[in-house]
Parts: sequence; C-alpha cells; structure tokens
Amino acid sequence: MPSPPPGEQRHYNPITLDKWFTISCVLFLISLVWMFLQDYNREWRPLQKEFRVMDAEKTRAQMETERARIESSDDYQEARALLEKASRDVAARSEQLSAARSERHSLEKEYARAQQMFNFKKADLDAAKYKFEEADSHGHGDPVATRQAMEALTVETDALGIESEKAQLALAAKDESINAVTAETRSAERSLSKSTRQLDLLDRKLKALDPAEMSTINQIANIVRDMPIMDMANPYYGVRDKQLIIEGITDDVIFSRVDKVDRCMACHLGIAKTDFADEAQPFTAHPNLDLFLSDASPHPLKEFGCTSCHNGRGRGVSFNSTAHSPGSVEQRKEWEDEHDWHKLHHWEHPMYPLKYAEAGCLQCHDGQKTIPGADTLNLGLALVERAGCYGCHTIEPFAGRPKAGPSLRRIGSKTTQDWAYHWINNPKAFREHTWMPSFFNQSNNAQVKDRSDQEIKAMVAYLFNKSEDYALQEPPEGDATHGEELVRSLGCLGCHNIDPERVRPEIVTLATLRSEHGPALTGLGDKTTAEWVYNWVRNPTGYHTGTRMPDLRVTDQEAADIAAYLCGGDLGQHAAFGSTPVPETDATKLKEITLDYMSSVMTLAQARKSINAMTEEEMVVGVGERLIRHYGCFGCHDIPGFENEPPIGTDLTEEGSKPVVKLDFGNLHGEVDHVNHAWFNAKLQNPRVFDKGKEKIKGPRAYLKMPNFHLTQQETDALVTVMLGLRKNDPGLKRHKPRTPENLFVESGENLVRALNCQGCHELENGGGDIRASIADWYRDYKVDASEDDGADDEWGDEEDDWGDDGDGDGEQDAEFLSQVASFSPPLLLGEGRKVQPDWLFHFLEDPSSIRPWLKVRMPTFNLTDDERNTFIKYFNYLDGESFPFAGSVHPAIEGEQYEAGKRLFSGDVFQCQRCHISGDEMPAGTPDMWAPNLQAVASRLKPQWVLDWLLDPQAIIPGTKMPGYFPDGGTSQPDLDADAHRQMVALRDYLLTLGSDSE
Amino acid sequence: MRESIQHFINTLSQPTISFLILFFLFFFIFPPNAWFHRINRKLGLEALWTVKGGIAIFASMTALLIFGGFDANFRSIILKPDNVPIILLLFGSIFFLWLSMHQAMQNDRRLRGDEPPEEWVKESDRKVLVWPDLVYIELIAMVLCMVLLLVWSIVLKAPLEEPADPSATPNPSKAPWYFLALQEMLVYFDPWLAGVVFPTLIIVGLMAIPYMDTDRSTSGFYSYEKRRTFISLFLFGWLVLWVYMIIVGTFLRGPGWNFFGPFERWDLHKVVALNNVNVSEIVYVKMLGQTLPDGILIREGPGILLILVYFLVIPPLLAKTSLKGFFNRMGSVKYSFFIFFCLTALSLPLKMLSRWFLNLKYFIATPWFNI
Repeated sequence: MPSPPPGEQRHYNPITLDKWFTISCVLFLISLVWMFLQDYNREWRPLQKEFRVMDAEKTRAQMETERARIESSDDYQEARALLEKASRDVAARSEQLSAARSERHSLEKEYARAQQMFNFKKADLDAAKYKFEEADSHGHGDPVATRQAMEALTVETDALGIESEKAQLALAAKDESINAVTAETRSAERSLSKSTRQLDLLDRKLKALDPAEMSTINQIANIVRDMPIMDMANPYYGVRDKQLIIEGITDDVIFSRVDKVDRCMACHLGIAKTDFADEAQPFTAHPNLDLFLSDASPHPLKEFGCTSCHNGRGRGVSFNSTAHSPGSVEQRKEWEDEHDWHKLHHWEHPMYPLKYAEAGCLQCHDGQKTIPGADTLNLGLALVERAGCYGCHTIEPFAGRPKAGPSLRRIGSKTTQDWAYHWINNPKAFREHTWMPSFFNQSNNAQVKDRSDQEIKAMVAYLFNKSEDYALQEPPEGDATHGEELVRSLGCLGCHNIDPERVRPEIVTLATLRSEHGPALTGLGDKTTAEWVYNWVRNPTGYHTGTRMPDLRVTDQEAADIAAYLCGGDLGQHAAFGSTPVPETDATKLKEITLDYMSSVMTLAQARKSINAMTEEEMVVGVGERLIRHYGCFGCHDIPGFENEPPIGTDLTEEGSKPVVKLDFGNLHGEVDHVNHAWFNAKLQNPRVFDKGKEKIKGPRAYLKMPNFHLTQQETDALVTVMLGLRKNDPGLKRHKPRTPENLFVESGENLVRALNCQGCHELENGGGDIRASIADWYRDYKVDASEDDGADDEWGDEEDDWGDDGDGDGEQDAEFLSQVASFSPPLLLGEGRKVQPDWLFHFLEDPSSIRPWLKVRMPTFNLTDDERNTFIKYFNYLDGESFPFAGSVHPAIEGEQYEAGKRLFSGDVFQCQRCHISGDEMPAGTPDMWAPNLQAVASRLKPQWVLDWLLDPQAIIPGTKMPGYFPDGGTSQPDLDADAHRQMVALRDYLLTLGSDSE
Repeated sequence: MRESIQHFINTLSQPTISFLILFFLFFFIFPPNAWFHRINRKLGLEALWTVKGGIAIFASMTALLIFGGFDANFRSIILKPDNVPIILLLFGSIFFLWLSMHQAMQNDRRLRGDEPPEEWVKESDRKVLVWPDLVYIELIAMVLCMVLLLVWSIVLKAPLEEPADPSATPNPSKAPWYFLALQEMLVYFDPWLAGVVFPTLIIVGLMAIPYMDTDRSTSGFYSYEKRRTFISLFLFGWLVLWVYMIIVGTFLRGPGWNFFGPFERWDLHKVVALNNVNVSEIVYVKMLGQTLPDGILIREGPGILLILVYFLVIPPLLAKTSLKGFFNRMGSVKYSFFIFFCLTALSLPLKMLSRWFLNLKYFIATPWFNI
C-alpha cells in the first residue's frame, strides 16, 4: 500500500481506493449482466422462436386454404351479395341518414346533461334523508328544518328524473328510426362474419404470431418483451404457460407425492398438432394421435401428460435435465455431438428409449396380456409365457400359469437315457426351433465340458431312477398314410408343426408363437416309440394328468395310424442327432461334483465320509437331485420329488424399478452401457455373459446358470420392454383400465384362451384362426386331389403353395377357394357371447357335440374344471356386453298364424333352409362343403335375440359367411304376416326353436 | 512416469502410512518442547515459515493439484461443486498458518535479540480512520464478494440431485465437508461417543483453553517459542485431527466408506479384508486360547482395566515424572482438566492405530455401549 500523501490523515491513498472501487463496480456490473444473460439464454428459447415462425407459416397456409374454401362457398357469396345490395340501399338514403344521426347526437347531449343533473340532485336528497333521520331518531339537529329540506329536495329530484327519462325516450325513438334504415346491412354483416368465422380466428392467431402482421405499437412491444429481464412478461416464450400439471398422477418425492408437472412442451411444441406430423424433432406431432394426446383419444394429453408413460424428468427444461435416453449407439453419438448429451445420474426413471416405449403401457394395463396397439409389449408378454420365464422367476402377472415344459414324471416309458443326455447337452441339435433352452456348452461352462457331461448324466439318472410306471398298451398295426391325413386334418397343426426343415421365423409374431404352442412333431421316432405316441394320443391325461394336450377322441386305429406316421419315415427320424457316443460315467469327476455340492450343506469331513459310504448309483442319483435343484429344471417340468420347490430365479415382478447399481455388470463395465435396459439386453442375448473373465475366480457351482434361449434381437427387445414395464406398484402413476368384475373376468378368460391356445384354431377378438393355412394345404392335397380323381372340375389344381398371398391368381377362384377353406376351418368365435347360451357352452366344453358334422377338424375335449368352463362363459358374455348369468327365454307357439308362416318360410318352397343346414340326422342335398350347422340345436344352443340379428344381416356378424341374407336392408320379398320383415323373422326364429327334440 | 508417481502417491496416502508420517513428523515441525525445538532448528525446518518457504509450500500444493488434474477421477473429485470449498479451505488454512508462523518467527528472533516484538514497535502507525479508510475498503470488499458469489454460482451450478430417499442412500453418503472429521470418527468409535461426547468435549475444550494457558507475557503479539506447548497441542488437534480427517473424508473415502488413493477408481465393489475384534477376544481367544467367558464384567475386564489405567493411572504418573514441572506450574485442578482433554484427544489417533495394526474394534463392547 502506498503511504498517504504528506499532510493528510489518510492511511490509504484515496486515488488508489477510487481506482479499486471503480474496478470492483465494473466487475460487479459485468457479472450482473452475465447473470441475466445466463437466465435468458435457455435451450427452449431459440426452439420456441423457430416454432413461432413455423406456426405462423402454417397458419398463413391454412388461411389461404380457408380463404379459397370460403370464396368458393355459396353461403359466403350470398352473404356478400346481400351486404353489397344493402349497402347500396343505405347509400341511396345517406342524406336522410346523416340528418337523423346529427339529430341523434344533440338528443344524446341533452340526455347526458339531464341525467347528470338528476344524479347530483339525488345525491343531495340522500344526504338530506340522512340528516333528517339523525335529527329525528337520535336528536342531533332540528327535525323540522331537516324534514322541510328533504321534502323540497324530493320534489326537485322527481322533476329532474322525469326530464331525464323523457330525454332517454326521445333518444331511443331516434335510434329506432336509424336502425330501421340500416337493419339489412347489419344482418348481412352478421351472416358474412358467420361464414368467415374460421378465417377470422386464424387471422387473429396470425396477428398474434407474426410480427409482420402486427400494429407498430405491438411490434415494439414484441421486441421489448423479448429482452432479458423484460421477458417475464412475454406471452410467447416461456415455460409456465406451456407446462401441464396433471391432476391425479403424482411424482414420488419420497416423503410426499406431488402432482406431476410435465414441461416437455417447452420444446415439443407441435406434439399434439396434426399439421406438425411431418416436421422433424422436436416439433413433430405424436405418431399416434388417435390413441394418444388428442382429446377424443383414450389418453388425452391433459389427463396423462408425457412422463407418466414415457418416464423421464418432466420438470426438466433442457435436453439433458429431462433424462432423454438414446435408443442406440449411433443415436447416443449423435446426441453427444449435437446436444452435449450425458446421462442424468440423479434421476431414477430415465425416459424409455423409443424402441422400449411400450413398457410404459404396463403400468396401468398391468392385468392385461394383450394391449391393443402395443405390439412389441404383447409379443414380449407372449414370449414370457412361451419361454416359461415365470417357471424360475416369480412374475406376479403370470402367477399360477401351468409349467411351460412337458412332465418328466414318467419319462422312463417315453425315451432313453442316451437320448435324454443328448437332448440336455444340446437341444438345438435335435430341433433348431425348440423352446428347451441350452444349459451347457455355454460361454462360461464350455471349458468344463468334462464336468458338464457328468452333471447331465447324473440328472438323467435321477429322472429315470425316479420315473413312475406307465403301462403302455400294444397298438394295432398303423397306416402311416392315413395317419398323415389325420394329423393334417384333425387340428393337430393348430399347436404343433410337422415341418422337419422348419427354423425359427425371422419375424416373430403372436401367430408364429401360437403355432409353436406344442412341440414340433419331428424326430418322434428317435425320441420315443410309436407305442408311446399311440398311448399318448389316445389318452393324454393318462400319461400326465395336468397336461394341456387335449383329447381329440381318436379311435384306437386312428391313434395307431397317427403314431405310425409321426414315428416313421423322414418325419420321425433324425439321422444326425445322437450319433456321438454318450460319455462314460467318470467316478472321480462324479465324486468331485458330489463333494462340491454336499460341502455346501455340511462340513467337508462329513461330506467325505458320507460319499465314501455311497454306492456309485446312490451317488449319481443323489447328485442328480442336487443338480436338478441347482439348475431349476422343475421350473418348467413336473419332476418327482420337486413338487413344492420354490422358484430359483430372481423375482422379476418389480425388475423395472431395480436401481441399476443392483445389477452386476461383471467385467463388462466398458462394453455394456450402464443402464438397466442394456443390462437386460446383454443378459437375454447371452445369459452367461456377465461371467466373462470370472470363470477362473469362482467355481463351476457359482457360475451363472440362467439357460440360453437363443433369442433373436426382436425377441430380446420385446422381452426387455416387458422387464422395463414390470415396475413397482406406484399408486401415483395408476390410471388403470377400470378393475370392474367384467374386465377382470375378461382378463382371466384371455389368460385361459392363451394357455389352451384357442386362437391356434379359432379367430377371437384379437386375432387367431392360424390353423387355416394348414387346412388350406390339407384341402388342396386331399379334397381337390380327390375331386380331380373323380373327374370333377380342376378348379384349384394350379393353386400356389402360399394359399393366401396369391396376388396374381384368379381373384374369383381365390375367393371361392378361401371360402371352401373357411367352411372346413374351425368356426370363428367373434361375438360368441352374444350367440350361444351359457348352458349349452358349459356342456359343449365338457363334451363337444357335433354342430358341423362335415368338419374334419375336431373340437378337442380339454381337461377343464368347472371353474375354467365358467370362466370361458363369463369371458365370452362380458366381452360382448351380454347380461349374465340370467336371460329371458322365448316360448314359441306351435300353432296359429305365426307358426304356419314360420313353417312356410322355412320350407323348401321359400328359404329352403334345409338345402344347406343339417336338421337332426337329416343331411342336406349338396356337397359337404356347402353344409351348414344343425338346426335342431338352435333351441338349446343359440340365444333367441342373436338368431334374429343373424337372420337380418349375417354378413354383419360373420363377414364372408355363406348364409344368405333373406331380409336385405330389413325388407322382405315374402307376403306372409302382412309382409312385415320383423314379424317374419320372429316367426322363422320361433319355428326354428320348435325343431328341437322335445317340442314335437 | 505419471503412473508410477500416481501409484507412489496412492501408496503414500494410505491412512496407515500418511497418518503415521504426519503423527511423528508433526512434533518436529511444531515442537512442543525444547528438545523437539532443538532438532527442529537443526533440521532447518524453520525455513518453512520464511517467504521462500511459503512460496515453496504453495507451489508444491498447486503443483500437486495440477498434476492430479490430469487424472479424470481426481479432476472430477476436486471440481465437484461441493468439494470446491474444501480446496479453498486447504489453501486458506495453510496460508493463515504460514502467515501467523511467519510473524511469530520474526518476533521470536527479535525477542532473542532483546528487541520488542514488531507489533509493539509499530503500534502508533497502525491507527486508521473509520471514515473513509475502513468503511471504503469494506465497501470495496463487499462489492468484490458479490462478484465472487455471482461468478461462482454461474460457473459452478448448485448440484441438484434426486429426491432424498432414506431407503436408498447414496454410496458413499458424506456429511457436509466441515463435518467430515466427525464422520471419520464414527468409523472408530461408538456413535454415542463420536457423535455426542467428542463434539461436546471439543467445544468445552476450546472454551477451556484461556483458563489453562494463563501466561500473559506473550499477549498482543505473535510468538511461537514462548508458548510452544500450547500452540503445538492446539495445532495437533486442528491440523491432524480435524483438517487431515476432512481431507481423508473428502478425497480418500469412496463407496462403502473404503479408502481409495487419490488416483484410484472408486470401485463400488471393492473388497477389503476388514475383520475386527474386541479387546476381550484378543485377550481370551488370541492370547489365552480360551473361549470368551460368560460374565460380561469378566469378559470386558481387560478393556475396562485398560481404560481405567489410561485415564486414572497415566495422569498421576506423568505428573510425578516427565510433566513434573508442568504439574507444579499449573496446580492439580488445571492439570487434571488439561491432561483429561489431551488424553481424550489422543485417544482418537490411538484408536485409529490400534484399528489398523491390531484390528481392534472396541476396548469395551457391551450390548448398550461401546468404547
């Protein structure tokens, strides 16, 4: 510090202090400005400016269209012409009008003056009233004088009041005379503005948006309001008026819940606007506005917001603080370059990457297994069922489903130990598309092949050692050719397939999964014997009481034929499989494995001692049991001794909420992105991948043991979507599909439909009837060939193999072929609840009676409980909104005019019902492919109202049905019953009801 | 080269090593008595408090920070917005330490030459007018403080994290930087001691200092030599038991509250062999080869004995031997308080050392209370 100048009592030099003060003030100013600029400089601001320009352009374009539309519209032209004419009329009388207007002006002045004087006087009067009251009641003043003053003022006020009213009346009269002249003009203006209403709205919007359209003062305001600090008053740019506060959906902030606030629209400004569909991000509209965001959709923007489904941080207003998640490495790279993207560590629920977006659906649609529109998610849910994930992992929505694999309780009668060894060793070698996953020869245990071999042998030994007896009956001689026809026509192919060349489809759909519901029937001769297949097909529950394989009520001979076909020839043999020899039992290795497993439950010394006391067989079976427990085979298979074992895998019910730190990335920290979906993806693609580099650190018993399902990327993505959707039950996020009893019954019915694969054969409300393709094949090979032999028309000889996709074939032939195939296919079950009576359905499911005797496909007898049958009935009825369980019945007369009319309409003279319909044992005349269901069952089977609907318009109920519509558009060609179509239909229906056995 | 330096620093900063070095070096840098002071002078350690020494201290600290800045992990730790104050604290406390020591050394030199301390000589020159001299510079300081706060808040954004969840706490969960030494104590002591008793004793002990250090001959000026015992003991508490522990808590404690070198990756899954035993187990199981006795008093007997010896036998013993002169000067009441505070403060490093080298968990372990 320089010393003070001489003569002054100052410690510091004032000039220096002033300098420092100046410098610090300048610094302060700079940092203040910097602060305001920081506050002003937000990511959304340039985007909102850009959007404003775009919106103005779009509005201008809309205005052009609207203007063109209006100008070509008659209403507008008419209104304009009217206005012009009226204006001309007014112009002609302009002198008269202007005189009237000037008169009106002086009257107005007069009225204003009178009114004012009256008001002043009235105020005086009020004051006088008060004074009098004070004097009279409270003694403050002279009551007489004040009373006189008041009375005098009353007289004056009244006089002024009358004067004012007179002036008002004169003014009104003048107005009326002026209005009479201009009435026409004004009504024309009104109708004109009515037709240009839309245009005016757009114009007003544009004037607010586009500075070029604004008045000068607004233009200045527009600039001023966009300056830093002043921008808090800016109506265009900002967040507050663009954010959504979603009532009823809350964010969990641990100690309390707060309403969700989504500010996504600070940047995604066009998200709910249809005319922004083709714009790039961030302005693009939601790709599915019919299902989401629009007011008419089931998920309106104001009720659901954005992050309730997509996740992410709704309160964020910058690219990073909203927790966007890239869907791929490329996108991540792009975002890093463009937006300086980095992961937001401090947010538990980052946005779902686009390809997993459907995971959000599961939060509210959590009881459903098929959610309309969520194809990836639906596929994932179906895959969980098909692959049997729930066998090892508890997943609440899948609780109680039957085990995914076949029972191994009586395996000794089915196959050999050698085959079982080869199968477990490498299931894919037997069938490329099998759902049995690979446990061995995987990335983490391939190097302990010796040990694996002994482990497999031990497990097989246990299974065969504990296998229960199954008495096989000797089959009669089977005819393989007839067997093939049976397999292809009975409906086996609704669940199984018999293509030895088959590989897993590249694109997996619900339909392809349904076609893999049962195992492929290839190589059965290798795997088992014709004798076993004969016994199995004859009576599936005889082998395994809980099997989902239904009984097709085949005769002994048919069963023998089927067995002969499935076990013989190319289909039944699998030359390459099992050619390598099964390794010998290695006593030392076995001992080592046994010791390894036993030492985990007892001391080493105890384990050694008890092993030494064992025979080799005891050891093999004993360790086999431990291994089955270790690998969790019982998750999918029914195995003796493991009836009450808990599942071995991680509970996945809330897997999507699991914090990422709880997922073990092993040595793959750099290779697998540190987010849950990347971990799920890697795990599903190779379940052992996180053991990489750890094989030497941990012993084989500690290796990861989830088996490899060899999933495609598409399947993996679908499953990851499901796993992300399995979230903690978060009450703040639930906007459930209503949990009404009706919806719950429909859900449980859907579960049953999926467990039994009904849609493999029948078409239901969300698809199905996949068996038709194989029916078409069968029809082409058997029916058409047969008719060829008979010398009939060669109508479908040239059909392409691919029956449905024959685009360039003869359309008419195609249509006819399809209709033939349809008539031989299992019936559609659309609207089944409206159609059939609950009683009938209950008994039909117990013991299917033949409705369509010409069908080769058989409705199988499922091993259903009463509960399950009732579930089906409730499912169908609630699905169609039928009242259930009770419904009124109809008691038809068996005589009288109506009965006779019905009988006549039914007869061969009029509608000729029996030309196609079977009636009791009476078969119609034509070929079976023209036949229609048995009419004697109407009374007991169909609901009376449905019969009426059906008669009125069959095509509306089953599009493409062969049933003719006799009452087109509700009219009739017949004279009966006063030619009243409705009465005729009732008569016909009532007559049909009498056809049952007990009415006559 | 860089890696080997980093490795060397990692090794050196392990608390077992760094703490021992600091513990033993400390009394040579800040000698509490004449013997240490002689060695201090012989080693030329006083040079630290010259201007050159000060420049050397700051240059080496800065160099270390810059060197560390090349390492991504280290950089992310020192630049974390909530760690920046700790860096400032480090520089600040070392600077003020240097400044006071610098002035003390000058005065010591003057006193040795029978000159009055500098503060007394310049007394008359140090008068300053409140207005304008004081108020003006205060105003300038205020404006500059505002500038600092504004720039700081713009450049280093407040670290806003997810809503606090008591069932999912961050790993590591760290106290605010000024409490990290307390948190560090929790590693070694029962929470009741580390969280309640010790903080209370620290405050009471600080308040008690003027009643124990009653020598007025050095009032009003900086001097080290005249009051080296108290300065040395105070600085031991401040630098070793507080600042060092804050540094450890900030930079060397990672996930699972494990030690990590400054250049070591914070591995969430780091496994450290931590198998600690109580005194009772050391005595009965390890030394006597028995099982633990059932009676709690017998079981904990050895530990209780140790504590009693520490607090009741050592003070009179010292008063009779090495601290005899000290005891005579202070009198028994002051001496008792003084030695109690010193022993309590010393119990922390002792506990740390016995944890590291003997795997000792507690001296006395009961279901209700542990020491």
